[in-house]
Formats: sequence, structure tokens, C-alpha cells
Amino acid sequence: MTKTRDHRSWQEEPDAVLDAALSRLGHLSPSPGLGDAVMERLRIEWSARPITRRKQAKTQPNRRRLGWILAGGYAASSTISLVLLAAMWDRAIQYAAITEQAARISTFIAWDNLVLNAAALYSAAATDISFISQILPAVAIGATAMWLATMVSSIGMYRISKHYRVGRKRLHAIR
Amino acid sequence: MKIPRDLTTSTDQDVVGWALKGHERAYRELVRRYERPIFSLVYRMVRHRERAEDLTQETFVKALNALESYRRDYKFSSWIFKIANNTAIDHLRKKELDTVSIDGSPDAQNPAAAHESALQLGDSAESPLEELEAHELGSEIEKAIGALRPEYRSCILLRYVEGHPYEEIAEVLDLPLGTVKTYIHRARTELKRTLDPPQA
Repeated sequence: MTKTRDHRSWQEEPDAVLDAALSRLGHLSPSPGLGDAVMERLRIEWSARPITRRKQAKTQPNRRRLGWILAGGYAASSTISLVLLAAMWDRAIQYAAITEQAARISTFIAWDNLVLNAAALYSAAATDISFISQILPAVAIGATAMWLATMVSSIGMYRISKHYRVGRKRLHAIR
Repeated sequence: MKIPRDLTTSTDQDVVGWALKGHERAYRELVRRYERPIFSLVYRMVRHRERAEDLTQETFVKALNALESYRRDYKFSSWIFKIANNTAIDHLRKKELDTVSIDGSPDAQNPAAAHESALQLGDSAESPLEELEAHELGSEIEKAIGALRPEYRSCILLRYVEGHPYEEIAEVLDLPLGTVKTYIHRARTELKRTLDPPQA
């Protein structure tokens, strides 16, 4: 055996008996049906993965696009409502507390529609109806939190969508 | 690009591309191309037919599940052999941990306790599967390869069964090139000694 520092000049020392024995080594065959067994295992594995409705919608281009339009619209409306809320803040803070209005605001918050919340707050302020000043910080914090959550979930949806689409495509392929 | 009717002439990279686009035929083609080479490597590593078939399946499932992580600038054969070798080595390590001495517990305090804890082996007659294994892996060279350390065995199999160059073996086994050459040199020396023992 010649071994030098230069890898390229390194050569195995020939040995007739050993080389003849090694040259007889060939591939061995597995039992027939190994390929089918592999495909079957893949089919089971891929179909066992939990698929949420949102993820399922992503696999179909039209529904996926619609999902993105809705998500985008929701993000935009949240942003607008936040801006409206900020705009009316100064004005609204000046009014005194009215419990009836507070109840109405709470109902709107429960509906989880920030545009309506903002519109209601703004119209109430414009018609000279007072607010409970303590409610406003809570509304502002809630709106900001929801807006942040929407943004984070939109980014999250984008990040998982690519990986997910590939997996679903393959599952469809072997079905 | 449209998937051709006959995939046998396509390159591995193209077939992988079609598999990633969701063509079942491409998956099957990859399995067809590599089932014998992968099985041969794994079988010679673990020296048990049924287990080798299970590990071969496991290799394909792992590889096809992770196909999107495969980099196209890397040879597909190197990538899948790396997965197969790691699967086999993991199995051997696990098996080593599970091994029980047939001579009795090493913690036995006296010969009687050792005898009591020894494994009682049943019928020593070979089953048809064992006969097949003895036939397939029973030649002198197969036995000699089976006696090598797993790292040496992988190197020898990739070099002489698959005909991989040293650089590719180094990639598959994640070893420096010099280490691969040393392993092959040592493995050959051991094999020579086994096949042609020095006369006393």
C-alpha cells in the first residue's frame, strides 16, 4: 500500500485473491413487493397527518386565493379601525361615563368586528353621547392586540403554506 | 416540463423534480432504481434479511418524506445511501444496547448464578430464512466483511459493491477523505488476513 500526503496519488495495493473476491460481490434482491410496501407506508403516513380546514383550503388554488383575500381584508380593516380609534381618542376622552353606551361597546367587542367597534365609538362620540373613560384604554389595547394577532397569523400562514402544499400534493399523488 | 412516459432514461434529478410535483410514477421509479442497492448495503450491514427489508423500507420512507430537503447539486445516490447507512448504523447501535449475553449475567456472583441467568437456546436447526441468509452471506468474503467494524464495512461496501469513489464515500459517511482511505486500507488488511491467514 502506498500512502502519501497527496490523496490523489494514493492507491490501493492490489491483492489478487482479495480483489477477485470483492469483485464477485453484487447486489442482493429484496423480497418482491418492497416498492409497493414503501408506497403503502407513505400513503398511511401522509394520510394520518392531521389536516385542519384552513390547511385543506390551501391545497385548492381558488379557495386558497379566497382565503388570502379574506385574510388581507381582515388585516386591512383591523388596521383602519385602529387608525379610526386613534383619531377619535382625543375627542372621546372628553365625554363623561354612560353605562348604556358601555354595554353597547362591550357587545360590539364581543362580535369581534373592529370596524364596527370603531364606527360605533365614532358615531357615539359625534352625536355627543358620553363614554366611560375607563373603557377606552381597554378598547384601545384590545384593538391593538387583535391587530398584532392578525398580522402574526398572516405571516404564520404564509410560512407554513409552502411546506404544506408540497405534502398535500404528494398525498394526492399516491392516492 | 411534461413527465415522460418512460422514466428509466431520465436522470435522478429530473425524477426527483417530478416526484416533488406530485407524480406517483416518479416516486415508484426512485424506489425501483435504488431498492436493490439500498437493500444490499443494509442487508450486509445488519446481516438479517427481514430486518434489512424493514430498514430498507424505513430508508425510503425517510428519504421520500424529506425529498424537498434534498439539494439538487448533491448526487441523489449519495444522499439516499447516507440515509440508508445512518439507518443501519442506528439499528446496530440500538441492537448493541439490547444485547444480552447468552453466557449469563455479567453481574452473577458465582458460576451457578451465571448458569441460571444464561439464555436457554431452543432448536438449533436453521429456518428456511436462515438457510437463505447462509446461502447469500455464507461465502468467505461475505463472512469476512460481516466481521469488520460497521464503519469499515460501510466503506468497503460503498467502494466495492457500489463502486463509489473515495470522495463520494467521504460525503456519504460524513468523514474526512483521509479517514475513508485509512478505513479502506485497514479493512482490506483485515480482509486479507481473514481470507488468507498467515501460515504458522
